[in-house]
Amino acid sequence: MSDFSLLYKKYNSVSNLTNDLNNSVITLKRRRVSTIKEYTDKHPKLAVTEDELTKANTLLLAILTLLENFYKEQDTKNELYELMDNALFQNQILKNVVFKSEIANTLAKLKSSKDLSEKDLANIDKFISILDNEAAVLFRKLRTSRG
Amino acid sequence: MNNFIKALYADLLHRIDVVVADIKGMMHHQDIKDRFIDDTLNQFFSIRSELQSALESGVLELDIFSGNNLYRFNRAHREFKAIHSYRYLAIKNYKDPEIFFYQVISQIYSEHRINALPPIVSTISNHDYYYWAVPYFEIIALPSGEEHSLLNLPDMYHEIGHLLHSMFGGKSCEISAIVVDKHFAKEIVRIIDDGTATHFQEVLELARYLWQESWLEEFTCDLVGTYMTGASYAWTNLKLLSTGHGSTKIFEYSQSHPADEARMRIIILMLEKLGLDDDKKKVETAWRVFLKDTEVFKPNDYSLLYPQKLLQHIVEEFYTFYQNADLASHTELLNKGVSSISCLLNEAWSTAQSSPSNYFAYEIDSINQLRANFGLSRV
Repeated sequence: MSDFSLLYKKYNSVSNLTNDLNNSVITLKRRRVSTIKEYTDKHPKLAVTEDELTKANTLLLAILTLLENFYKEQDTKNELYELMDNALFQNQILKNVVFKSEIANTLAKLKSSKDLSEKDLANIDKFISILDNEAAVLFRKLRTSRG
Repeated sequence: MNNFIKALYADLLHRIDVVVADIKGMMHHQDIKDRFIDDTLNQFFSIRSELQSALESGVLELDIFSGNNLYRFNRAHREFKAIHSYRYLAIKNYKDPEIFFYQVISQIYSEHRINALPPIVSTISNHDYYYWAVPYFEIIALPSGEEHSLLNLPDMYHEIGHLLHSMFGGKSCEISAIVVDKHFAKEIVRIIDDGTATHFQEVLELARYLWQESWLEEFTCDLVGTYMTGASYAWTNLKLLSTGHGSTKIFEYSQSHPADEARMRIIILMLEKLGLDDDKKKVETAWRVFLKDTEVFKPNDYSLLYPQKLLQHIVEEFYTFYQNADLASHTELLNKGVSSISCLLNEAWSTAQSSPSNYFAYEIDSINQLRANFGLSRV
């Protein structure tokens, strides 16, 4: 009967979302650098498989669609609703018109299986940093909740 | 920056290795020796392997990955702290109260035919944070010293309710979830048509969200408590809300919990469903006296939040689901005349109310009897 269980559920949801997004971006970046001989000579394990790439693109498409849907309607059933109280999410993501339009472009590229640019990945990194911030906030509350 | 991040990874890897070595070097009680210890070690190994493969892949060498490497570290570090704070602490703290509670919960699982391994019960909580459960960590936490008392113990069934809710994937209230959501969608349209949206729309939107987010699960956990322990759960709930929250707060709700008034109503509905009419009458009488002093504090919009027909629907769906899942109710145990933990808890509440001056001796004797049944020494 404490708030602990609910907080943990929320933390887990945001944390998993952050991780899926982050791992997908890492995969796409690895793909980019693995075409540069200088890097692959030094770090041959940087290369990624086609399956890993497909998985990353699928996850990115799913998560950015969540965000697109949330721009259209702030539905309580959307996983991103957890972030409504986060000021960074409100100001940098929801109310940021430029960001919204850039994310729409990124999503269009993913839907038509086009490669993402550095700018696209930088925008997703920005979103990851806000999700990571929320996960940290929830985790701190979790600890406080136990006293 | 890359060297700094690599240092963070190395530090966390070392911390994991230290904790793992400590766990492996301990003598563990047989209750936790296999499953709980193995799962804990596997969770640490999983973090370790993610960090190690990042180190080996070369991504920590390039600036382009700096931010992503840091986010990955943050998550790994939080996961490490969570396992360290809850599972590792529970392992370090596994002493006489935990051994006693594992016997208690194993008996509860057996009595009610819960087809799952019981969780670890650890006294790593305190009285402010009371009882809590995290299904992922397979832990129910109780305040230290709880092994000497019986009157809060019905709340352990509420925590078992959280584990069952997770185990059944919320199926004991899946139709109710739809019914509740439709109800609030309809109500929102109605108040817009009525022209009262300015007053009520915000609260109804929030209630619609919180019902799905947490309230429905909390109600089903209250139903697990009542279904399995009858009136003793109602008395424990009344104790908690009168001592913990105070009479003026029973109409207040939070993100995680519905209002106490509604929780008491659903508990009483379950007592009725179980056919525990005498118990229901006694609880209701006490509850009415409690309510008499609090009605004046009832907020205007309160009646919109927990309609009786929704609570009734939840009770009906829950009861049918639990009966079909062949989970024994308190009534079934009562009718069989077998001695059970739930019967003991009801006896404890009756004794405490009918003979408070003898309760202390009764409680000590009862707990010692229980310990003797488990082959444990007297306290």
